[in-house]
Amino acid sequence: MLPELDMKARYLVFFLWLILPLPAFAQDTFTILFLGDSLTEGYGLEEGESFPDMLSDRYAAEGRKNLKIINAGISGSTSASALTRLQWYIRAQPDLLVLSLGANDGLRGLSVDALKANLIKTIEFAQSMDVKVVLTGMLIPPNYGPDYTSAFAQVFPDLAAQYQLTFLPFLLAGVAGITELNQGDGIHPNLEGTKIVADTLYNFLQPLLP
Amino acid sequence: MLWLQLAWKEITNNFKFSMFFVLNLGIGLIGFIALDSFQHSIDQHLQNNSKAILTADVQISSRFPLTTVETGLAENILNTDFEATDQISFMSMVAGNGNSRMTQIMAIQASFPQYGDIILQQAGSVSQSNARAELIANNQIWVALDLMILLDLEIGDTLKIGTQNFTIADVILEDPSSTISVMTSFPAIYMGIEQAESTGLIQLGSRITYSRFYKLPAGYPVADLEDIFEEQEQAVFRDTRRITMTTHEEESEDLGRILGYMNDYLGLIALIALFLAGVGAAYLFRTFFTSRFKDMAILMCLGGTPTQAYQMTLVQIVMLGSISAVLASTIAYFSLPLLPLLFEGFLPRGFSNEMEISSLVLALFMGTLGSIICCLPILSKIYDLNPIGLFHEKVQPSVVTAHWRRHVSSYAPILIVFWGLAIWQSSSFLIGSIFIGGFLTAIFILGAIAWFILRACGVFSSVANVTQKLALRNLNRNRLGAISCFLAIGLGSLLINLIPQIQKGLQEEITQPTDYSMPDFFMFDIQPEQVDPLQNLLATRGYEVSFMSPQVRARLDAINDVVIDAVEESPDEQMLRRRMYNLTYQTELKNSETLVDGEVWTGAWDFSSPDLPGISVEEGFADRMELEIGDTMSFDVQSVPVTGRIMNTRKVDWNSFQPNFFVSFQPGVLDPAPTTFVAAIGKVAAADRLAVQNSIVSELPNVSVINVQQIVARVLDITNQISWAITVMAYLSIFAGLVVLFSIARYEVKSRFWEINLLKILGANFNDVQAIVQIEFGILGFFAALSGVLLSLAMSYSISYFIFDSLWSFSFGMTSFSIVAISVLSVATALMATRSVLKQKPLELLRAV
Repeated sequence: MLPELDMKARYLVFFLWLILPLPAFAQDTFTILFLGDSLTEGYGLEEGESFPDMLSDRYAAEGRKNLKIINAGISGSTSASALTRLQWYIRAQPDLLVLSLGANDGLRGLSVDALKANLIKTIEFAQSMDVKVVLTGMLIPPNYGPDYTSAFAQVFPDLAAQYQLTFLPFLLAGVAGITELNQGDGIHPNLEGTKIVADTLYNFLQPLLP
Repeated sequence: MLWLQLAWKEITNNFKFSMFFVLNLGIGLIGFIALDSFQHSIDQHLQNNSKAILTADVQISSRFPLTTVETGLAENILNTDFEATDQISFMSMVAGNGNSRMTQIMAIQASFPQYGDIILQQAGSVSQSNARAELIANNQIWVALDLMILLDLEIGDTLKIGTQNFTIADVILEDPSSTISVMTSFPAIYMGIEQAESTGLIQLGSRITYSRFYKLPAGYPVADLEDIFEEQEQAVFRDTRRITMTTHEEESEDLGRILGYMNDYLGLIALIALFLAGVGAAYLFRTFFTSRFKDMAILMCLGGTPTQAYQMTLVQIVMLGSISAVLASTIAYFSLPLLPLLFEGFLPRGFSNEMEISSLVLALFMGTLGSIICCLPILSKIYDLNPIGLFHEKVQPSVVTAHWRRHVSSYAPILIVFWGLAIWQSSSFLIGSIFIGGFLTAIFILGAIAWFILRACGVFSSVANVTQKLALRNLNRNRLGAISCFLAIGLGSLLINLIPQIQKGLQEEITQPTDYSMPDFFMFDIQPEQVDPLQNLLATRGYEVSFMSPQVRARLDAINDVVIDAVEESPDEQMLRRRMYNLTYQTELKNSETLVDGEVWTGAWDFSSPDLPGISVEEGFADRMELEIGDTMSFDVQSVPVTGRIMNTRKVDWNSFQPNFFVSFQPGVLDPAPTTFVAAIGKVAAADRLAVQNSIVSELPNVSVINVQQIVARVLDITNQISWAITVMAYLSIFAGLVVLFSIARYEVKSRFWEINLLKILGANFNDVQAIVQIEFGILGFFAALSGVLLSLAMSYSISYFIFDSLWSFSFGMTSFSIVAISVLSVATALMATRSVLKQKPLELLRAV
């Protein structure tokens, strides 16, 4: 077979995959979609060292081959991109969405109301597609001022309560602010810090997984 | 003493000739001093401008308080006297009159900024008022004008930051640090460091930047500091290293590159100024010496030794050289600082032309010691001087080949001294050596060309009329003298032309092309559903985006179906390790892109077509990744595999103020993928900018709006100044070179005084003599200029290749101008000089004997 035809065939498969409903084999698979920013993408770490990668490795080591993990982290992304990105990934039929966006909204001092509205649209879309949502909370550094930091931090528990989501209060719990666990920039966890984040998530997600 | 007296007497006896010599050498030296110190002044000016952007020579910064170990490490590397000033900066949300806004808090000490200036509305320049001292002594703040308007504030109002209340003491109109970083372009609030610490905002988990700025002694080289620092920090702290050092040259990457070019360019000009002055001086000295052979022969007849004869002339030359050098230095010293006054408005703001001491020293050196060194080869000839020559019409040492060893070795001091000076002027052993090597090669080639042309003159003389015959035979007979004149003109035009040839390529690289409009705002993170609202919003205000580029994040997985990990050993491993790319898709090439190879796709990719979607890659990227047209690239576009085939390579103009992408796709493939857009708006009226920015921020809060105007304008300002300086230096070196050539041609005719008079005595009329001179100098001037310019093309090309990343483009105008100008100048100067010789009575000839 000519390589061109081979590629063509691959495209066909790709588009069929996009268009056609859930393939049969997927029923056994449980897909976790991590939709986030640089923390999810593994900014500053080597390939394969992000916390979704660590979780994936751990599940594989446990022989849980039905667990499939998608790392949908994009550095610098804000909550405004959440909905369109989820609409793209919905084709991969995720069962569980771990929504970890908002940190960049906070660091850039964006409006708390806009953050809330963006997350609401995303959560509502996920729920309409029967995807279970895990929301991770975010805190921003105290230098942003007491009023803004508290209003920002309150968004996540409020939404969790309103939409009855499984809620992890702080993704970087035990890591943020500790020099030894962060990279030189002081906000992105280093390898050690990422291991802690992965541990936190492993324990937290365990009851939700098949 | 006797020698001095004798020499002085000799000089005063030949007063007119001595003055003529002093003037010629003086003019040449003034040219050198002007060129050399102008080059230094420009360097200084640009350095100061670049320092004003960083506000310091060097900065270290960290996300954690700087420890004494860290500052000690930096200061140890600097290893010089310095002044330091500390700064703490962080972002904070500030509220006032029901509105809140993200701001950049800048906590400073009284010595900030070390370069550049903060301009306040009331106090004016902070470097010339005590505003800083008051700021850090009180609970006061200075607030950026933007923020004053946004929060509807007035001077004297109170603003709460953290737990503390601050009084607004003044409004910031100009702020050097606003240009530092794109990401910190939030309106600034300045306060003292102690005050910032009292706000309660600096606590565990706060995101703070701690910086220390250093001001170093003038001329301290900062080029390699960053690398050295990183290396040493790595050695001490290993994985926990967390501070970075930034030098003013590296602050802006573009500027750093351009400043680097400029540095090399100015170094080259310094070299050329030196060699031009050297060629001129050497020529004058040698001709002067040769004209003194008769006196030396007399001296030897009267019982003097060759050494005594040599000393006698040497003392004269050193005296005249010193007079010229002192004269030139004095004139230059008083007139050069006046130049900026003369060209006010044409020169960049704040430019001052400082007299460079090193230029003066070099000029003095050239006038005194230079003369001794240049005349050394002639000393060796004196030993071959025979007093019998007194009875010849023209006294020349006989050529004795047995002494060739002495002759050759007498040139060694010139070579060594100029080699040393070249290294010193260019501050680089390699560049200095290459330059002198190139120069020697040029002398050899020019000499060979001259010899060949002069021989040809002899051959052609048989078919010419009387006047032509005389001229051609003169050239052929007086081959040695003609060759040295040819060499001087040829080398002069070679040196003159090097700079303009290099200038054109550099200029093209640096100058901002006028066909791109500079944007006022860049906008990032525009979501697909925000594209229309943004465009509508701008349309209601009468503006239009200049571009809207989609950006899709993807990971490169395979090239030609070879998974990337497998090819990681290839040449540019680092490039391959970076696997995350921002892709774009576009229907056609942008105006900043030109097709290099292959073809552009027509329309969107059709799913039913048998081909893969097209990919266009940037030329340099294709080189590094070893990609060729027809190769396939496979990406993981956010979990979806997409493969395309490279259809073309394109060249990107990185100065275009547009987002440029290494990889762009044919439309129709990436469109449904999660995309963000980058856009820009230009031509926003200054008064309207804040309103436009605010309306975007309030309607589309997630869109980052960056005011590039203030960042780019500053860099652009320096870029323009550099581009200006490059041109001015090119013209100045042409001018200085022509001055030197002028003095050479004038001198050459003067030394023909004998011949011309003889022709007159023999009955040649005015026109015949003129025609002869015209032909001789026409041939010499034209061929010397032609060969010099051709050599300069080759040499400038290789210089560009080695130093300026092959930025070279042929300047036809400049090349033809040089050839014509130099030939015309030689002939015109010669004719002018002939006229004055012709005016003298032939009786002079008899007297001279």
